[in-house]
Amino acid sequence: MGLPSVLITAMPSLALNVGANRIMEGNAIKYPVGLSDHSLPDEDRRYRQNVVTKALDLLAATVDKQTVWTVDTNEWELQNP
Amino acid sequence: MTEHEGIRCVVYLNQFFGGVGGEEAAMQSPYREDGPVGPARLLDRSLGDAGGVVSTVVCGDDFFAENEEAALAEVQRLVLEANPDLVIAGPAFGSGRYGWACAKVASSLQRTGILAVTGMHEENPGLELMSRDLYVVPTSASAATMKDAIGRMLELVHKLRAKELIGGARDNGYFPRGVRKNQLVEEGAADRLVRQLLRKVAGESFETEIALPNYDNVPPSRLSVPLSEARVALLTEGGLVPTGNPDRLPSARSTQWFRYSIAGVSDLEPDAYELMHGTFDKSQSYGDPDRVLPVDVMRDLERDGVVGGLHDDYYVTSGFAMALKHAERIGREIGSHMRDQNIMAVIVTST
Repeated sequence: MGLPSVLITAMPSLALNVGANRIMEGNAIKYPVGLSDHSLPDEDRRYRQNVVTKALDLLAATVDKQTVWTVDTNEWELQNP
Repeated sequence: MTEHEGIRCVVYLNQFFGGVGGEEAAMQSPYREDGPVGPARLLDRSLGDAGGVVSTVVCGDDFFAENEEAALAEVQRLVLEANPDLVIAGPAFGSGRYGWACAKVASSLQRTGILAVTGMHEENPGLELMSRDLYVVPTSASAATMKDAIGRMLELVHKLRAKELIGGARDNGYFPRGVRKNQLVEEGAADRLVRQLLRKVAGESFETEIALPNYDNVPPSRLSVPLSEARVALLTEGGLVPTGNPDRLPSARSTQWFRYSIAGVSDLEPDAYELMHGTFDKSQSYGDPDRVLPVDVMRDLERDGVVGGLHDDYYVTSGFAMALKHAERIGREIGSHMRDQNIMAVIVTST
């Protein structure tokens, strides 16, 4: 059994193509867990908190096929299809 | 070569070949210039009397990747504005984001009925977009072979325009599109099968008639303990290293990975790190390194008991133009190392 891992990337379609199983959509190529070059430090951190927390939820979730989440993914929907 | 005779060619280039700049210009929005720019000049000369490059469209690789639908629509609009008979995208060689964009642009224009050809290395992730609308000429991974690549792209263009294709894709110098054509051969399937098997058993080279796909499917693993008890490690392929790059992580085509301590660190300091990912860009434009490796937030989550713990080291490599076989080996090596450290789960960030 391997190590569960989640990939945070701004290119989820590429990650899907190469076979990653848990994919969290990140914000930008250059800073996947950053908001923007112009955001205030606390805005940036809030975004990061949001996306990393979601990524950890995906990490803990049981998935049986390749799964892409965004910050808007409704976990309840996914776990109760 | 005037604009009104022969083949009207429009070329698509990224920010680097278009002359805008390197990685720092990767967010360049699409624009169009009259005539050939950069390597399109060589293409224009190579077309000779047959036609010319009437216009060049340029778009930054990151802009394209992050706004794919809108960028593709705009690039297509700009290309069609110049009324082309032929579209050449790239060639992208080993550049993954560029190859992806070229594949999108070429297939999209091909679907409008205009011949479009691109070129890239056989490991370029852009090839994942292969379809019957995509003509891709194989190139080396290095732009040093530009002249050769352009020559072979034009050879294919002339064959396609004259509809002079005998045999399959490989015979004609492009990557197979997955189109099956019936071809009558003398030897029946049973004979071909046995012949192939005999060659394989004898250790001789043989050519499979149907190629199986390359990327393996690894079944998803499960977290074996609750998240609040799990030791989580951070791994990045963004090439984030301590300033000075003490182990000399290459910024491209890396075959190595490293670990650096974040013991007692609750927030990455901008001056303490740099990024080795791609040729020219350094850390300045990135600001806070936590935006690539989220140590600050992970420490909060550790403190709040959401995760059992954040591992004291982070793992790093540079995934820029990394060869597939090295990526697989590095993944196995890191995984094995993490196992020995009782790491139970991994967050990987990619730039």
